[in-house]
Amino acid sequence: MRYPTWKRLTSATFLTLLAGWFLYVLLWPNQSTAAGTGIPIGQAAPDFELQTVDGQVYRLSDLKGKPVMLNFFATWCPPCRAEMPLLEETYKEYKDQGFVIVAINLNEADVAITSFQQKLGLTFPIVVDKSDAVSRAYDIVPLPTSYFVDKNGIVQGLYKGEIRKPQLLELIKKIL
Amino acid sequence: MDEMGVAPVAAAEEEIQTAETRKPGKDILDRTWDFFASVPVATVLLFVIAAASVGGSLIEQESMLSTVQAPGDYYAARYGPVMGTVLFKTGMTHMYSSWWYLTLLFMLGISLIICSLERFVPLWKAVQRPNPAPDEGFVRHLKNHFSFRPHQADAPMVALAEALKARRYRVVEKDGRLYADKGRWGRWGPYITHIGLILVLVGAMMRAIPGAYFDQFIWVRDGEIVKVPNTDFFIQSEKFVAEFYDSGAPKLYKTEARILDGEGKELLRHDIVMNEPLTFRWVELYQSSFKQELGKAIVSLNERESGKEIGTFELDLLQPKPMYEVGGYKIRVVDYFPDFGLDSAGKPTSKSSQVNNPGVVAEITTPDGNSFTNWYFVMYPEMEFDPSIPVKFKTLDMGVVSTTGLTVKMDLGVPVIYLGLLIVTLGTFATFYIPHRRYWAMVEGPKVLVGGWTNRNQGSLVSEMQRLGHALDPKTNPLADQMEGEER
Repeated sequence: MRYPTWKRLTSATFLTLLAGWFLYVLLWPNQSTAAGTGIPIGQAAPDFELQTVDGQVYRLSDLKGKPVMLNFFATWCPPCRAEMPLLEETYKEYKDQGFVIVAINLNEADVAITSFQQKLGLTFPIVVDKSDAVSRAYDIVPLPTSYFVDKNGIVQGLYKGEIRKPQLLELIKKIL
Repeated sequence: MDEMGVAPVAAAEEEIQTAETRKPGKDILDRTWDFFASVPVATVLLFVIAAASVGGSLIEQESMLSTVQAPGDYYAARYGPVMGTVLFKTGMTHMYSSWWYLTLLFMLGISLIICSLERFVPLWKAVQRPNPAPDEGFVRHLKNHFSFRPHQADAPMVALAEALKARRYRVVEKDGRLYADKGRWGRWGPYITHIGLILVLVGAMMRAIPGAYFDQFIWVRDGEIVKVPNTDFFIQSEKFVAEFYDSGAPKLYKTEARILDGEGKELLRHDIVMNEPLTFRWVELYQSSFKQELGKAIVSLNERESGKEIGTFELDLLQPKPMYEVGGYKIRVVDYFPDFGLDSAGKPTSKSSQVNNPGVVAEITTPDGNSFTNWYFVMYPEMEFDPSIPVKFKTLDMGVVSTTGLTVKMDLGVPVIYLGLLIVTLGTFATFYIPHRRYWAMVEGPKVLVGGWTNRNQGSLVSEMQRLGHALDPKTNPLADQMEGEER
């Protein structure tokens, strides 16, 4: 004699729910909530819409089909300044293959950004993250931090701190 | 969790079928039922959850950390390499969102539901579909009785039925027997309480559901419009106000805020004060911090020799304009360093984006077309790199701009928890204040025998029965207080 059907159905429902819960835990392991982990490789890069000092609008979703490097920086941060010439040089080299660098400034005065851009002779676009929303979405802790987004808008690489040429070229190769 | 207060005799009548009656050949579904229907299992789960929660309060949780170190390194340093790694890896450091803690809560929820069902279903049958004509011995063995001589021998139950209906009893007559009861809700009280507890658990577990919970922080400068994270609306701080008592103790921190939609239309206007958050679409914005920084300077341009003022202008220190015009002079802001300093190579740089020591590189063009470049330090106007040019800046006044710090919080679990607590209260009220009273009556010779049962408050049942008996047949049932002067 089995238990009545309603008892067995209840058991079956809860067993299924428990099994589903364990599957969820196993398949999405360790979603660490700690700050500064960044967006995991293989995940979609959060879309954003930001403007340059001159009011030109850049939307990440508009850059689909192109390999994109996002460089979060501030003019007052020495390692950010130090890596800029390398970024400029690399940008010029790979521009023809569709490669785009979007430098994202952490909400500084327009004058400071323009003078930074002119002094270093940067030709790639610099947009301003006025409300810190984008740097928060990308979980930026150290400056500079660079994300490498492939043609499908998927994060393929992440580099924290001042990047050197070999690492930069290796990461660009992943998204070209 | 168990059926408190049921008299043993009544329990026999409402025979509760338990899972303890072991049957051979149970399969996994039956065993699952047995496991969760067991009170010891529920008790163990409760104890483990309680112990884990104590641990979670004692061990510093990751959400509380304020360190630049990665959490793994931090715990290794704080609790030692072995202990720290164990705590971190097992999730003891983010307990309330760790998979095993939530699993325990989930299992407790299942246990509550199955334990309730196990007892609820048979009880439901006994209470909602009672047997009006049980075994006569059952009626005779009830604890409380009275009897009366009916006025109409052919319809002995009529007067009793009316008296009980007047007292809002539900009366059923069958085969010359009578059954009446009231206060059935009192029996459901514990189950209502359990439903409330399950809602509380669900509310607590909703934190793990993406989109149902977030807790963030934003800075909003006076006048600025900022998107509220994870939402599609914007907040503008029109003004932040800080007031203090003479003693220096804070009196008021207030943000005069507006909520705007994407097109800039005002949706809500509300002052955010401590403990008085702005609530909009389940999102709450709390006043939690503020900062005041230099925001603007009133600057005059003067002739160096005579000291004569050429004109004044307001310099925005957060966002300097590229060009200012004063009395025919053009001042172009070439470079700006909000927190002036020198880098390792001795070159001018800004140490941060905070306006701590603003330095401006200005190119000044006189009305007759000569131009000069000079530094201007708002806080130290006397410090110049080129004191030979014919004009000079002077700082007349500096203004402070306030920035309010708001905590943005959404927790859809909270209303669920409140609803759960309300239901717990209602269930508890029903359990303790609604007694379930039942009467069975049968004809016994020339008299009618009435047996009474209650699950709460025996005393009031006894006195109700005395009054009923007295009203129906004063001779057989004199009132107790007339006999002895006092109830027991």
